[in-house]
Amino acid sequence: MTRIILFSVAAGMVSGYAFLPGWYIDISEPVMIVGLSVLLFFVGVELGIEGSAVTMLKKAGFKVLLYPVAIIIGTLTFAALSAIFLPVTAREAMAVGSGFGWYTLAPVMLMDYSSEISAMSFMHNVMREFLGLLLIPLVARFVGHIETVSLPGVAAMDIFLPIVEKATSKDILVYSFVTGLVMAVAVPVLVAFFAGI
Amino acid sequence: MELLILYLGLAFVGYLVGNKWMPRGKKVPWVTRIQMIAVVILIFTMGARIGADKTIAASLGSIGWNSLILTLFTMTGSVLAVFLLRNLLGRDKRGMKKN
Repeated sequence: MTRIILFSVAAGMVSGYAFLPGWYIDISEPVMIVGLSVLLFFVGVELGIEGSAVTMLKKAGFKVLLYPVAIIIGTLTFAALSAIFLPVTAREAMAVGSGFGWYTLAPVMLMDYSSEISAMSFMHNVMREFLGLLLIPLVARFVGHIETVSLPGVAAMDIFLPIVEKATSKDILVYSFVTGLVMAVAVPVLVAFFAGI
Repeated sequence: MELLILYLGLAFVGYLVGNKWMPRGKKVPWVTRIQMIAVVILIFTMGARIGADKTIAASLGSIGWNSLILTLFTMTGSVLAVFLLRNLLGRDKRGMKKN
């Protein structure tokens, strides 16, 4: 999956730079809207087939739900702080930070806001997932088990479950799933909010 | 705003469709395949827009460094937030209730 994504972005950049006709760039907005609609519909279908999302949320209880809320607040606060050192506004940094590692959704939503912020969002979200992979064992050992689920963001609900379990224990899986799910719902809302779309 | 409602609405309708009319808990390969096709088209288009913008294409290196700084900040903020909440809720390092 990751390899296909990286290949697609590289192919897109090279063709956009070298030979893609201007009309493709002109129609990119409707392409994006249709593409995102299809993507989000089928993300919903997949969650529906799996069927455990609602049951898990009910079973987890109120206190578990506080963790994704804390992670979102922590992420956005520190994203805003990072703007002090970066050539972007705090609001733009928060729009980028709101991707929570969902690199196939957030940068596409930001495409019409600005190509630069969109590029930053793509790189940030890929890095968040990749660094999450590297840091989970370290954070589990030196900081705490629940903390590990905060690192990758949205991917904590699916592809990172076995990685979190290996570094921590079965008890942390509910935190991981619930965190990823709540953050996934928050991505489109927060990205749209901070980019004003 | 209209777009956001469209996207979230479609995800919700998708959830209902998947939940009511599809075989529960089974892998449905074509659902994953359609997602993959949509993602490839979206990411290719995004790349094309970035590539077509010559000033952005020229400054991808510095955008990368900026992204790394932002990533390190957000991940620190996330871990810190969970650390504070975990201690506030009386859970130990392994996520268990403290005695």
